[in-house]
Amino acid sequence: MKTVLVIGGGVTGLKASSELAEMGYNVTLVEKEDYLGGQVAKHKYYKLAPDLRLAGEVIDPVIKAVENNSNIKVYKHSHVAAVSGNAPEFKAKIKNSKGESEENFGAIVVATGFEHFDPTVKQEYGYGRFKDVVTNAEVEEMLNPGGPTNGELKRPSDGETPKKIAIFQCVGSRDRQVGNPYCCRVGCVVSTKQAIEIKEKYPDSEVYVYYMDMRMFGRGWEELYGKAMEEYEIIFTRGRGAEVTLKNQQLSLRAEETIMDRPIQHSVDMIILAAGMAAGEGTIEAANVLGIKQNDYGFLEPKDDFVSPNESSKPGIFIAGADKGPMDIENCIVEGAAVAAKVASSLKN
Amino acid sequence: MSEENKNPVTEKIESAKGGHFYKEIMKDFRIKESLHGCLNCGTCVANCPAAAFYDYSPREVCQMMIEGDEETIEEYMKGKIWNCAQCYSCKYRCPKENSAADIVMAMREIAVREGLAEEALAGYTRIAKLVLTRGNQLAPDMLSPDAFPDWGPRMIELSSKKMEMREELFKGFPGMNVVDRAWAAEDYTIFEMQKIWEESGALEKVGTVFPFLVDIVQDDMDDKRDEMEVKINEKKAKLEASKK
Repeated sequence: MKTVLVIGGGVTGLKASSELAEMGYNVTLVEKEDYLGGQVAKHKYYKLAPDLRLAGEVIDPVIKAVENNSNIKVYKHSHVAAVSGNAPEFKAKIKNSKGESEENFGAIVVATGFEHFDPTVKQEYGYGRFKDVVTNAEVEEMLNPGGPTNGELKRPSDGETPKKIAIFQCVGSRDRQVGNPYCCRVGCVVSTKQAIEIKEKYPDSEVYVYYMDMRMFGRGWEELYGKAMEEYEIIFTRGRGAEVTLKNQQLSLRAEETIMDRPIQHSVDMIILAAGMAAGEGTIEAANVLGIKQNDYGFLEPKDDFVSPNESSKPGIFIAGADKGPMDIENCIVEGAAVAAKVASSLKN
Repeated sequence: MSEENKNPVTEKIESAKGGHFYKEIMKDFRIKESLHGCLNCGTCVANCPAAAFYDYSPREVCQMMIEGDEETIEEYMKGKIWNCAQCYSCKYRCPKENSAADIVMAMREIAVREGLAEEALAGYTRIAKLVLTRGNQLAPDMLSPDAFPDWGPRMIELSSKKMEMREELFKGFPGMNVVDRAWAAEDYTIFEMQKIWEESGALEKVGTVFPFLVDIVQDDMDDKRDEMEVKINEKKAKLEASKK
């Protein structure tokens, strides 16, 4: 039986590994961090949209399915340094602090995922300059009882609970200025979910969402958006957050209320940037090591988006999940299972 | 289908885009790089100093050029586009990398050429005269609270003692100790500049909007002409000598 190399221990890589192992294949899973779970674990995602169920309910079983399967060998804190050979005879060099080993594989699955867009480059938003301008990932950590603030939303500047909160959509997405003209696909629903969580926890707070379009295409997303407006009185303003300044020690934002056709200034206590998805360092590194094609934005390019969505530009190397482009957790799990099936059928031939 | 049953919306857009001004603007080399569709996000308006104080919206400029309605375009060329301060904030913030400022610049040039600009530019007569006769466009004594609300209260406060400030700031530079122009250039420099206006055709262009200013400049040049020709010949001789 051939061994499959899976690169990346996030949701997609975990699901692919456990599915392959259940089919009887040996799997070697390589993860660069010293924990499994990818971005979900890294940023301590608390609740998932649209059901507001705990992220742990979803990610823990996926991790356990890998850890409890003896067909899977997990290398944490490791990376794939070099790959040689062709399908179905690959040789991969796996490196970590203890040294390096070379192993043979029949197929390779790349599930290196995404990274949250770093909003520092959007200088006009003041991220990194103003302490109370935070990212949506930082808010996830704060809202998680196991996080740095024990589940409380606190202003980084003074530890106070903010009363007026603005959320900026599309930070680093739909933006040619930063080279990411694509939609991040999750910002809308994550912002709406976070706004509801904040209103649930702090009913006296005011939450404003600055958006261009609300792209609520997923299961139950549109309903969540309706609930946010009707039940939680979250205020959605159509206009992109344009600039953040500090006025009398308070954050002041500029936007245009494009429905009312007027430019506005708005003083708030905290601004949450719904930072989008960018191709992660791991994805770029994997593309270089394996010599597989990337698109204009650094994501991996399938051999054919419609016909062979999980095959890379090279035979025997498969791709899945958010390393192909922005993707939510639900779809990453589907992708993990899909790539496992594709690998299994290719190894049979 | 009879004439009455045609969809009026479709018909309007189709015929509007064939408009003369629309076509002239679209021909400009800047437009291709300045308009990539519009998300209607309002970033440009939120950052625009002109939109904050005047009746102007860079978002409307982009929308207008996408829709191509000839009447709206003409109305804009006569009025609103002249409120843009050409700071290019819209260009450097637009997530689509549009540049309303570049579109406006193209529209202004065409408006002048097509004779749509007279009324809008009437208020700039003083500035145009200063440029053509003194070589600089703004003078400290043109600062008034009514004319420049966007410059803020601090600037207005300072404007009451501008002569004292200038004398203090520019000690030993008498050319700078003036408030009726930004600085006093030499007669020869002014004459040279006016000759450039004249020979490049710029003066003629100015004449389409401010015909009387052309006379003022020509009178100004005639007064100095004999004296300046001597100077020009002196300089030419000097240049020739240095070449040998």
